[in-house]
Amino acid sequence: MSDLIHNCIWLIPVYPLIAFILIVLGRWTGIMPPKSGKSLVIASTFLGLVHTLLFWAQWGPGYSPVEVNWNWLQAGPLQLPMGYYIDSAGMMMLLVVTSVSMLIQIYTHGYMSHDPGYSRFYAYLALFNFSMLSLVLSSNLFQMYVFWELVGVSSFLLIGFWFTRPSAAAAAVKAFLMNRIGDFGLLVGILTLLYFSWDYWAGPVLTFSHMGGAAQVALAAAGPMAFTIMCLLVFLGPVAKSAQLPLHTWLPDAMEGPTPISALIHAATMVAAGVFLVARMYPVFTLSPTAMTVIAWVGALTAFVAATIALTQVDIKKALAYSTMSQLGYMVMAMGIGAFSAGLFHLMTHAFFKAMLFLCSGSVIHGCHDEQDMRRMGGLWKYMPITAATYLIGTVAITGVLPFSGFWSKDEIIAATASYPLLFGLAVATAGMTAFYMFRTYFMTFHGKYRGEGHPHESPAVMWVPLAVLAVPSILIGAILSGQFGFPGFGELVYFGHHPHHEELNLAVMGLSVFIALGGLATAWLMYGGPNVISPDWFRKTFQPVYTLLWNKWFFDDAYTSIATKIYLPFAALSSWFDRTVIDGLVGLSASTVNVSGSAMRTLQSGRVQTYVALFVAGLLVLALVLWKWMV
Amino acid sequence: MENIPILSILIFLPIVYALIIPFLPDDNKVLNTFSTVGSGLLFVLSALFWWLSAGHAPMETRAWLPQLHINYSVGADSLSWLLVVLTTFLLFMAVIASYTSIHKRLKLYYSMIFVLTTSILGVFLARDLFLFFLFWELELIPMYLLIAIWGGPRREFAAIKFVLYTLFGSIFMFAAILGAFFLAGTFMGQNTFAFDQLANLSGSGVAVTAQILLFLGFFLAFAIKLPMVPFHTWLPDAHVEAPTPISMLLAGILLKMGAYGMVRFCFGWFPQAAEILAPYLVLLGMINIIYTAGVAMVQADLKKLIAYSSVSHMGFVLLGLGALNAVGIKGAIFQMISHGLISAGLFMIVGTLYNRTHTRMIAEMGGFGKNLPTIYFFALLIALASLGLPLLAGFPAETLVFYGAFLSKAFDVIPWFGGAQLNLSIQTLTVISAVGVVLGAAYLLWMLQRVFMGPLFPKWGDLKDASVSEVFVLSGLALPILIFGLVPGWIADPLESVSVDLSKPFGVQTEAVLPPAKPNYVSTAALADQREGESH
Repeated sequence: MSDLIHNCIWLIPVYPLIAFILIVLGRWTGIMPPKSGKSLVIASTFLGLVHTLLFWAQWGPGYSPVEVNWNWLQAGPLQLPMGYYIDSAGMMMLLVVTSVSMLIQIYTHGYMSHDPGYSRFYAYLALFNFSMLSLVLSSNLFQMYVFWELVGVSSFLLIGFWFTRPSAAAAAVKAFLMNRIGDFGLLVGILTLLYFSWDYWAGPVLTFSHMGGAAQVALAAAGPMAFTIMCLLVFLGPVAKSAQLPLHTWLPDAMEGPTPISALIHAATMVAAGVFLVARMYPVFTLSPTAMTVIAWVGALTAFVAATIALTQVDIKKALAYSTMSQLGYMVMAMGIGAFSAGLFHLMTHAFFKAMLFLCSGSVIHGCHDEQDMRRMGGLWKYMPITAATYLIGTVAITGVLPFSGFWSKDEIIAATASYPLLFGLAVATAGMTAFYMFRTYFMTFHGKYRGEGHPHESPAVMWVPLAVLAVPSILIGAILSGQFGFPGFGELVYFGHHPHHEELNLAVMGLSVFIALGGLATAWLMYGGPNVISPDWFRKTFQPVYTLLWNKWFFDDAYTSIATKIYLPFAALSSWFDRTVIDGLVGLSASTVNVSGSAMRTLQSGRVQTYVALFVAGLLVLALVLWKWMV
Repeated sequence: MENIPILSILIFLPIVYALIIPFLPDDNKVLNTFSTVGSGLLFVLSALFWWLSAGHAPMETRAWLPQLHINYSVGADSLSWLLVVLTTFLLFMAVIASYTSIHKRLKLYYSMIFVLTTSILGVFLARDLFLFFLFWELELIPMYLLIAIWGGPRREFAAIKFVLYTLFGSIFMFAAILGAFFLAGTFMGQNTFAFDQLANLSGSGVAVTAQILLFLGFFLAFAIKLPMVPFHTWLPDAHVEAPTPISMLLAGILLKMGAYGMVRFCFGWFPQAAEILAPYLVLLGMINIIYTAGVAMVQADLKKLIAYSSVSHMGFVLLGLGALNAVGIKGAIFQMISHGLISAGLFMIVGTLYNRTHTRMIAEMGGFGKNLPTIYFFALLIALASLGLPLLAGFPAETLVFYGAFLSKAFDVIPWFGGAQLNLSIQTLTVISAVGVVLGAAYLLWMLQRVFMGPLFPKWGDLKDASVSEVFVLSGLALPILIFGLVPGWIADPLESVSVDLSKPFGVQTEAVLPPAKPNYVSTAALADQREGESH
C-alpha cells in the first residue's frame, strides 16, 4: 500500500483528468445525468487530497525530494522529460491546491446551480485541477512550461465561461495574449538556459533536481551579462502569470469569469504559480544579483501600484483583484530579496484568506442578485451575517493584524526588507494602503445602510460552509507555522539552501506593521465606517490629478490599446496591402507577360500543352547552359 | 509479405477506384458510399502495410525504359510512410466532408479525387526521379479540375493561377533533375534517376557551385508548393475558391509535397549546398512565420485568415530544416504531420460555417458558440492546437523546431551581397520566429472571439449544429491531434533514424550538429551521487 502511494504520485493530477474525460464523454453521449459532474470532480479532488496526505504521512525522514523522469519527446541527443518531483515547497503547493480546490468546488455547486453551463463549468474546473497539479509536480522546467500553458488555457476557458458577453470574451482573449507574451519570454529563457548549460546535461534535460549545477555551467558559459538577460527572460513568464507590472492588466479583467474561479485561479492558485516558478528557478536566479534586484523591484512596484489602484475601485471583485496583484507583488519582492521561505509562506496564507474573500464576494454578489458595485451595497451585515463575519476575518488576515495568518507571513516579508530602505518604504506604504482599501470594501459592503434595490439574502449552506472552513486556516495557519508556538516554523520546513536557524521575531517591525495596519483601518472607518468624518468626495476633489491617475489604473490599458490598434494593426494592414498589391501584383504582371508570349505561341499552335513543351525546352536550355558552364 | 507489391497496390488502388466509378449508378448515395468504403480501405491498407513492413524498408523496382535509364521504382522509409498514411487518412476525411459540400457531378469529382490520391502517393513513394516528376506533374490535372469545376465564383482564375505557378517551379525542377541525371553519368559513371544512387552524388566530386544550382532548382519548385514568401500568393486564391474537402487536401497534403521534396532532395542529396544556404532558409522561414501572421491578422475573410495561418505555420518547416541538426529536422517533419491534421481541421471548420451561412466574412458572423456548441468545441480545440498549445499535436513540432534551431550552431552571421554580412545568428532568428507564437495566438483567438463568442446575430438564430458526418470528420481529425500531442513519441520515434541520417553530413566542418547523445540515467539516486562527485 505504501509503495502504491509512493510510486503512484503521478495519479494525483490524473484523478481530475479522468473526471474531465468522463464529463466530456458523458455530456457528449448524453448518458450522464445533468449535475452529476459535481460529484465526479469533487471526488477526484478529494482523492488527490487524500493521496497527498497519505504520501506526506509516510514521506521518509528529512523530507528528501522524490523524483522520477520519463522520456516524453526525444530527438537525437535531446531528451525532453516528463515526470514528478516533490520537495517541501511542492508538498505545500499540493496541499494548498487540493484543499482550496475542493472547497471551491463544493461552493460552486451553490453558486452555479442555476447556470445552464453547470457541468461545462465543472469540466473546466477538473481540467484546471489537472493542469495545476501537474504544474506543481513538474520535475523539470520544460514540463512546467507545458502545464504553465495549460493552466493558462483553463484560465482562458473559465474567464470566457459566459462567452456570449462581449466583455467576458474580450477579457478571456486578453488574459491569454498577455500570458502568451510572458510565455514567449519564458520559452526563450528556457532555450537560452539549455543552450548555455548543454554540456552539463546527461539524459533528461532541465530537471529541477540538477538546476544548481546547470546554473553554474550556464553562468560560466554565458558570462554575467547574458546570464542576467536569460534570468529576466525566464522571469517574464511569472511577470505575466502572477500579474506583475507591466503585464498585469489581464487580471482585473479576468474578474469577468464566475466568482468561484476568481477565487481558485485568479487569487489562490494559478496566479501564485509565477511565484512557485521563481522558487523552482532559485538556484539559477540567485546567481545573478542584478536579476534578483530587478525581481525585487518589480514585486515592490507591483505591490505599491496595485494597492494605489485598489483605493479607488468600486467593484468589489476588481478591488479584490488589485489586492491579489498587490499581495503577489509582496511574494515576488520577497523572492527577489532572498526571503525564499517568507515569499512561499505568504503564498500559502494568502491562498486561504484570499480564496475566502473572493468566495465571500461571490456570496455577496449571489445574495444581491448579481450586483458587483459596492456603491449599491451597504448594510449587508444584517442580511448575511456569516458572509460578513468571514469577510471580516479575511480582511483582518490580509491587513496583517496579530494574530491572524496574514500578519505572520507579511511581517516576515517586511522584516526581510529592513536592510533595503526603499523597498522597506514601499512595503510599509503598501501595507497601510492594504489596510485602508480592504476595510473600505468591508465597510462599503457590510456597514451603513443598504443602498441597493433588491432583497439581499444569506447564501445557502453549500456556499457558507466552505467559507467557514476556510476561515480556520485564515485565522490559524500563520500562527501555527510561525515557529513561535511549538510547531516547526514554515521557514524550517520550506527553505532554500542550508537548513535555517530558528529565527527570532523582529519586534520593531512587528510593532510598526501592526501600527500601520491599524492606521489604515482607522482611516477607512473615518471615511466609510460609521461616522463618515472625512468625505471621500473631498479627497477626490482635492487630489484631482492623483485620483484621475488611479481611477484610470495608471493608464496601462490605454497604452496597450494604443499599441495594438494604432501601431500593430496598421502595420498588419500594411503587410496585407503589400501582399495583395506588390507581391501578387508582380505575379500578375509576370502572368500577363506570359499571357502575351503565350498568345504569340498560340499563333504557331494552340493549347496549353504546347506552352508546357515550350517551358520544357526553356528548362533544357537553362540546363544546357549550366552544364556547359560548370562541366567543361 | 516480401513478394507482394504493397506499395504499387497503394499507389494504383485509387486509380482502380477512379476507373470503376464511371460504371456505378448515377446516385449520390451510391457514389458517396463507394468512395467512403474505398478510401477507408485504402487508409486501413496503408496503415496495415506500414505495420507489416516494420523493420525493413520495402522497395519495388522494375525496368521501365532502360534505354533512358528510367525505372519504375517505389520504396518507403518512415518519412514516406508517415506522409502516405497522412494522405490516405485525410483522403478518407475529405471524402466524408464531401457529403455536405459537394452536390454536383459526383462521378467526375470522386474520380478526380482518386486520381489526385494516386499522384500524391506516387510522389511520396517514388524512388526514381523521373517517376517522381511524372507523379508531381500528374497532380496538377485533377487539382485544376477540382478547383475549376467545384470551386467558388473566381474558380477558373484561381485554378489557372495554381497550375501556372506550380509549372513555373517545375521548369527549374526539371532542369535540376536532368542536371543530376547527367552529372551522375559524369562523376559516377552511370546516368541514373535512382534515388539511392543520386544520394551519393554530393560526395562524388561534383563542384559545390553545381550542387547549389541543383539545390536551388529543386528548392524553387518546392518553395512554391510549400508555399514560401514571396511565392505564396497562389495559395489564398486557391483556398478561397476551392470547396472544403479540396481545401483540406490542399493544405493537409499538397503543401507537404513541397516540404517532403525539400527534405528528400535538397537536404538529403545536397548537404553541402544546404549547409551554405541554411542561413537564407532560416531567414525566409522567419519571414514566412512573422509576415504572414501579420497578413492573417487583418483578413476580413475567414478562409483567407486560415489560409495565411497555414502559410505562416509552414515557415516552421524551413526554420527546422535550416537548423541542420536531428532535432530541428525531426521538428520540421513533425510539423508536416501536425500541420496536415490541424490545417485540414481548420478548413473543415470554415466549411461547416460556410455551409450554414453561405458567407466567409468574419464581420457577418458572431456568437456561434451559442447555437453551434459542437462546432465551437472543435474549433476551439483545433485552433488551440494550431497556436501550439501543449498536449496537442502542434506543440511537439514547434518545440522540436525551436529547440533544434536555438541549440544549432548552423551560422552566426548571414553572408550578404558584396562581402557584407547580416549580423543575424540562427538564435536571433529563432527568437524573432518565436514572436510568431504570440501573433498566432492573437489572430486565432481574435478570430474565435469574433466568430464564436459575443452575442448571436439574430439572422443566425435557427442554424443547426454539426451533422453526424461533420462530427465524424471533426472528431476524426481532433483525435490524432490529441493523441500525437499526448504521445508525440508515436510520430517522433519512427522518425529518429531518418532525421539522424539527414543531419549526419552536416557539421563536419562547422560542428552544426549537437554533441552526441549521452547514456540514459541509470537511476536518479545513482545520478545524484555522480553529480555530487562532479560538483565537489
